[in-house]
Parts: sequence; C-alpha cells; structure tokens
Amino acid sequence: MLFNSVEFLFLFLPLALVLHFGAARYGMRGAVLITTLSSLFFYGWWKPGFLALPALSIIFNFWLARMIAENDRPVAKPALVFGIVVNLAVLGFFKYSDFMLSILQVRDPTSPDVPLALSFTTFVQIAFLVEVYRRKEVPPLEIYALFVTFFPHLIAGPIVRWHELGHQLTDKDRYKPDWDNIARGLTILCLGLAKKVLIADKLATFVAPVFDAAAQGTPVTAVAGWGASVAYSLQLYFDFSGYSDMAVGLALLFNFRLPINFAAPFRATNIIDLWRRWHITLSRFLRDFVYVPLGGREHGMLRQSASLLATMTLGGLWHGANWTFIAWGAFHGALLTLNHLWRSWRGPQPDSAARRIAGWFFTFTAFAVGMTFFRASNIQAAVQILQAMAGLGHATPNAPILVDFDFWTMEKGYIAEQFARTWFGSYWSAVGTLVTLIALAIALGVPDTMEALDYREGEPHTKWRRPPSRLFWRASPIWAVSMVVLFGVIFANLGTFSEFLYYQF
Amino acid sequence: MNSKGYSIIFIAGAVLLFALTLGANVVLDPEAVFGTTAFPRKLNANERVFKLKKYQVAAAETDAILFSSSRGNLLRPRLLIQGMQASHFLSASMSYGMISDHLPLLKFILRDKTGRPVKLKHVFLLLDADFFGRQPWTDHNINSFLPPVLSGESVGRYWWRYLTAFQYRLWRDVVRANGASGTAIAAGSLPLDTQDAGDDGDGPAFARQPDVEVSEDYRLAWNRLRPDLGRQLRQLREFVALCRANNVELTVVASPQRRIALHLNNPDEISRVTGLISEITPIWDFNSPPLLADQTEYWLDNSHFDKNAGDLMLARIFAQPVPAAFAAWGKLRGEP
Repeated sequence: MLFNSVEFLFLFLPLALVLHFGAARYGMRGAVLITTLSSLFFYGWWKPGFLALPALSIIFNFWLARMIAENDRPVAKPALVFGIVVNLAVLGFFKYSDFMLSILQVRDPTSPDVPLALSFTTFVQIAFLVEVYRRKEVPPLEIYALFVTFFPHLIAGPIVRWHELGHQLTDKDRYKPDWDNIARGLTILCLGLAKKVLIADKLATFVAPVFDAAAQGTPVTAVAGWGASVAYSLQLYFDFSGYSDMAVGLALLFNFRLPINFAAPFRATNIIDLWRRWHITLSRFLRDFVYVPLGGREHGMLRQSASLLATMTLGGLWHGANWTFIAWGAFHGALLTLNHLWRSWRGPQPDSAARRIAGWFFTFTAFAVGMTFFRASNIQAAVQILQAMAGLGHATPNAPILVDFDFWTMEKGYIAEQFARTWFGSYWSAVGTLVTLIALAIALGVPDTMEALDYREGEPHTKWRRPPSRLFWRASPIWAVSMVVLFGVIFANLGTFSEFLYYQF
Repeated sequence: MNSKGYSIIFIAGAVLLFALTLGANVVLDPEAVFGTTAFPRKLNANERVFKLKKYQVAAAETDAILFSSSRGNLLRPRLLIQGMQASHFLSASMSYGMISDHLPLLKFILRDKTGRPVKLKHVFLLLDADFFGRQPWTDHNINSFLPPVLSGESVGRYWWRYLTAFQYRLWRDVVRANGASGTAIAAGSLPLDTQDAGDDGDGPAFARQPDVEVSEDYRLAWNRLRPDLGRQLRQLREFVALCRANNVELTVVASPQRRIALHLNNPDEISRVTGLISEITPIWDFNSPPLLADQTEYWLDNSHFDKNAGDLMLARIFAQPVPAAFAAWGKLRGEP
C-alpha cells in the first residue's frame, strides 16, 4: 500500500488510528499489538507471500538480542557478529545473488524480486543488535516488533535507531491522542504528499523519455542531458524527502517522533554538507557502522580517503545491485575525498556571497552529474547521457515535437521551432525546462517542511535552518484552509499515483 | 485557533472532498459503469464493460463474435454474418482492443456457453500488427478496466477505483453534455450502441490526424517498444487453443496498414510480428502485399481503413468476388 493512494489515506490510516487509540484505552500493550498487526497488514498488502520474512527476521533478531544481553562478551560478541552476518546474508541472497552470478557469468544483471523494505529493516535490526550489545537492555517482544514494523518508517525509512524510538514506544503517555501532534502531523503529511504528487511525479514525466532514449542508444542533446539530470536530481529529492515527510507526519499522528531525513540538501554549498542533509539517517548509519570502524578520520588523510571511498561505494551498492549504483557511490566517495583534501589544503576560508554561490554551483552540478549513474539503467546509458552533457550528443534530424505545451509556445512565437528541434530534440522540452526551474526554485527558496514546522527530531549536525518567516507554520485558519485546498489539489492528482523511488532500494 | 480546531477543519475538508467525489462518480457516472441515468450521455464509457453487458443480454443466441480494436467497426456486420454463416452475431470491437482484452472475454463466453443450447461457432479475430506486443490499454485507463468477472480482480477494488477517481473535467463535461439543448456533444458522448459497426454510413467519426514526418532514430526507437510481445503471444496461443478445444472456427486477420504507419513501424517489423502470429495460427495478412497502403481513398485516418476496404477484406477472406486489382490482395500465412 502506498502513502499516496486513496485506500491508504481514506481507509487504512483512519482505521489504524482509531484502532490504535481505541485499544490504548484498555492498555498500552493492546495498542502496540494492534498497530503491529496494522503494520504487517500494510506490508502484506503489497505481497502477502513475503510477510513471513519480516516475521521470522523479527523473531530471530529478538532471540539473538536476548542472548547478547544475557551473556558476557565471549558469547555476546560472536552472537552479535553472527546476527550481523545472517542479516546481511539474507539481504545479499535476495538483493545481490543474481548480481554476483552475473559477474561470474559475464552478463547483465536482472532486476531481483527483493522483498519490500528488506534493505531498511536489515539496517534497523543490525543497529538494534549493536545497541543491545552496548547497553545490555532488551525490550519486550511486542515493543520490538512494533519498533521494526511501525508502518510509517517500515518500507523506506527513516532508518530509526532504538535509542530514538524505543523510549517513545514504552512511554504510556504517548498512547493518548494529542491534538497538537495531530495538527502538525496532518500538515507534514500533506506537505510531503504535495512534494511527491505535485512535484516529483510531474518531473518524472520529463526525465523518463531522455533516460529511456539513452538506454536504447538514441542520441540526445546537451540540453536534454543536463535537463534530465537536473530534473532527476530534483525528482529524487522531492520524491524521497516527500516520503520521509509523510513518514514523520504519520508517526506524529500516533504521537511518535521519527528523525528528520532531509534538511534542504540542495542549499548546501559543499558536498560534505550536502551529505549531512541528504538521507540523513542512512548517512549516520554508514558513518557509525562502516566509516568509523574503517578508521574514519583518526588515521590521517590517506586512510580517511580510503574509508570514504569504501563507505560511499558500499552506500551506492546498498541502493541496488547494479554497476550504476556502485559508480554513483564511488563518484560521491571521490567528491567527498576531494572536498576534505581541499579543506585541509586551503584551511578555513572567509565566508562571502561569491564563495557561497560558487560552492553551491559546483556542489549541485556535481550532484546532478552523479545522478546520471543513479538513474540510468546501465553504465552505457549513463555514459551516453554524460557524453551528451559534454556536448557530444545531437538532436535527431527532424526531431518530432511531442509535447503540446511546446507546440503552444511555438504557435505563440515564444520559441522558434528550429530552436526547439536543435536544442531540445525529441526527448526534452521547453515545458520540462520550465518545470525543472520551478522545482529548483522551490527546493532553494521555499522553507523545507521540517523548517516550516520547526520539527527538530534527529537534527543534523549542520546549520541549515533559516530564521522564522511568515511562511512558517502555526495553527491558524489561513493555514488550515490552505492545507485543505492543497490536499484537494493533491487528491485530484492521486489517480496517477506512482511508487516511491526508494521502494526499489 | 487551537490545534484541535485546525485538525478538525483539515479532517472535515478531506472527508467532504472524498464524499463529494464518491457522489459525483455515482451520479454523473462518466464511465457508464454504475448504470445511473440522471445524466444519460456518458463521455468516457468503458467499452469493455459495455461489450460484456451486450453479450450477457444476447448470450442465449450469440453464435459468432468479432474481437477487434476500433478498426473492427469498419467491417460490416451483414458481411460478417454471411461469411461466418452465423445466426446471431456480436461485435466485441473496442477502442485499442488487444488480445489482452479479447482473451478474458472469450474465456468468460465459453464458460457461460457450457450450459446453453446455442454454442459459439465462429470467432473473427482482427489483430493490429502495429500495436501487437505494445503496452495494452487493458486495465490501464479508467475507461478500460476489465470487469471483475473477466479480470479476476476483487469486486471491492474494482468499484473502489471507480468510486474514488477524481475526474473533475469529465464531471464538468458530462454536466455540459447533458445540459441545455444546443450544447456541443463530443463524438465520444454518443450512446455506445451507435459506435458499433453498422452496415451503412461511415461508422464512428475518427479525428483526421496530420501526417507526421518521423526521423529514422525515432522510428527505430519506437520499433523497439514491444514490451508485452511475449505475453501477448502466449495469450494468443491460449485464445487459439480455447477455440480449438471448444470446436469454434477461428478466422484471424491482420489489419492493413497505411503507408505512414508502415513506415513508422517498418514493413519488415510488421511482417515479423505477423509471422510470429502465423506460427500460432493461420492469419490473413493484408499487408502482403501492402496494396492499400498508398490509396488514400480507402482510409479514414492514419489508422482506420474505411468500410469499402473492410468489404474487400471480407470478400477476400470469405472467397467472394473482388475487383481484379484486389484479386491477389491478402495472403493467408501459416496455413496448416
């Protein structure tokens, strides 16, 4: 079931809330069980056959956690290592086995049928085992089951840690409706839906033709290459940050606070800062469980660079079993390494508007270039787009104009036909350019949801918030009516709903 | 304003919007699935549902069926009845009808016929090689959802989709189309019965499309887009097997292509797809030779031949006399 589906919004969610708070009147345990069952139903809606996997995984990890908590280091540490290995092996079996075979058999990998949420629940449970190892505390099974399956974060995060959510799940006071959280939760949910339905899905219609053409070996123009890469960067941002907003908003309706996952990353003026603001909970996981154990920045620049490259390449691979994701991760590892080298070489620099603009430009451009690997179906297609971006592509002769809006602009004389055919080709358009620029302006200029709602759970280690403005939320009639109208517009566009991009990871 | 008031306004607004949507869909019924008659002119009728209902009305007598896309509307029923030696003929032609639409309907009809004295004797299957294997409309657009009895989809989900679809423009147009006299009625708003094949007249109106010059790159890219070819070949194989198992005579025909469509699709590609079909069942190929491709007088638009062309096709298939120029038109490929 998707957050952006009518059945979720008007059937599942109201029913899940009523059952949760209804059961809570008779005790916290009932609410925990009911919401766990609701979450499993939410998961099973997609493919009931895969329900056994999270159920078995929860039981196995809980059993292991008790063993770790009840025993001293000689037993606990091997148990922890065993747990991590088994969790990764399950993930590897479903997600990477065909990819490994494809390397041995020298063929293209196929798309594996990965159980939904597996990548996320694997990380959540590994982090839990590590926390149990360090703290020697294990919650009751039903609380742990809800911690893992709680439907707002189950499918695509945020990747929650036990120390963030566990104490909330055991707090009896949170099992009563709180109108302040409901008001904020509804608003965050609505803004997240708007990001996904009104912006990301719109951008997707312009991105797909260019990447599909490249996948088929059809040349595209430089404008099309850049346009599609920038548009896809924005599509992914609005799609995934919209999903994360919805997750936070939904959890708030239940009185639980999930961590922030995005902090206006496209405002970052260097790649290090961008990664502190982009998919924050994954970055934290990779930092704590890969980068730091590999040595982090404690052993000199060379070791740090190698750790960064390894961490980001693994992070890329986590997104999918394909060379494109590995290339994307390695590319960002290289960018981060360059950024650290630059900092250590140049030292602290005085802040200035020119520096910020240049920093933003290089950061965003590099990110968009990397996105060609992330979106392309294979390395050849990514190279085709990159060649086009380097000016080595071209429009097809007599490129047909496929977009009505572009016809209209030509009829009105706003755009010369020859200009459109030469610069956009068949696969990009004037309207695609316009929508991409508007989306970029929103990403840069409009307060982020978490900023506008002053939501600070899991605040990233960076100064990203702007001073409060009139656009910041408060429970006022204007905001209430605006949200109802916005929801109406979203509802009118739900008929064309699409999956969230991060469901595939 | 406190948070409680804010939340109640939001929730009430959402619930009201939802309720209005349900109400509008039932009362205006743009897809003609609920059967409400307050606004009788429908603008987006689901032909798949309509054809099923039409069969159910005539289930006892029907012994011959035409399965096709809208191109089948240009085949005169009188000639089909003569050719198929049928007593009661049913047209199951539908916009963008493909094998993925025809197979479920055939299965349903054959199941339904088991307890009836009049059996299905003849099926006429008109296939479009230019669309065969491409992404079908079946169950894709709101006016092409298959009824649950055909698709196996849950009844609840089927009606939920129709109840909750927000289709403001269609609602508005349905109200306008059913409003004051003199209001322009779109072609699609005609009652569905009149869109069926008739013996006379030009049949349904097709918008004339401008000729589009296509580049070689575009043409090559388009030709790679047959993502559903394997599945549709399997469905055709099942269709043929069902006809054989139920002693239903099957006539399969590949519709003729206009030159621009042949060019876009590549004549070799059209021939290849027809060849794949002919490996499953004999097929009348009216692109061998493409005699009609350049004769503009036989075309209503780039996609639809006219009734005269339809007459010539049926005459060739059912061994009736044709003008000398068409004596060699159409080839039965894959003849056993």
